[in-house]
Amino acid sequence: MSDAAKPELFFDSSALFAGVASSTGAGRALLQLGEAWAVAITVSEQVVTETERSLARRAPAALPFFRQTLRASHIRIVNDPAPAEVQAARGFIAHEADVPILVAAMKVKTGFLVTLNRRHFIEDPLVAQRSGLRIGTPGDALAWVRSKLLGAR
Amino acid sequence: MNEGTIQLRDKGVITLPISLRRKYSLRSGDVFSLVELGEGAFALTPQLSRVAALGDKVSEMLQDAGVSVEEVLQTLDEERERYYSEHYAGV
Repeated sequence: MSDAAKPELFFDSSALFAGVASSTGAGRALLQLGEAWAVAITVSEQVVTETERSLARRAPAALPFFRQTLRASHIRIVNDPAPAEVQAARGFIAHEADVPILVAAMKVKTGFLVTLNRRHFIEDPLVAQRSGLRIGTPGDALAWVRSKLLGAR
Repeated sequence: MNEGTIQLRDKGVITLPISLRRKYSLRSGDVFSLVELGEGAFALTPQLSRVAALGDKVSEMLQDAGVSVEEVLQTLDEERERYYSEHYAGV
């Protein structure tokens, strides 16, 4: 598949962690598609730091395996947005601490922002409208990827 | 992208077209990973999935530590607040 046709996804911390740790979820399927270069997955430094800190608090022995999973999924890590960029996007999402994630996904022009945080990102339709992003759960993202991959035949 | 139809036979056996086997040098005994895409669609990748093996290892270690995925997701919420205050306080 050419890179132009490859679905591009941005993972929020919740979707990334669940994809790694839950063998039956859609997030795991997306990470495996990343491993096969069938989709391109991006995260920001914030996503990596949040997930690593959480694991370090709860199950530090799992941390090396978590990091290896990210590498095996061919995940691209981008810089966090600058404070001025976050400032400019205040109001795009009600929960302020989520603004840098939203801006990071907007900056890479991702095709889909994948998150498990329904309350902050998904249930308020204005978040998708203001950011111009397609936003949904790993299951929603997998359905989108499926339609893109099958539509590419 | 190659198109075509294949038939499921007894005991779930399917045969990949010779054109694909030649194109990707696939041989009898090769191992694939099967990724379920939902709605009856699947992806086959010609390798054992390291992501699946490593992810399962993470899952095992969480179980050993007596921690659920949901508990770590709660911790993520706390870490989001912490990260924001460290990097964007005063924005």
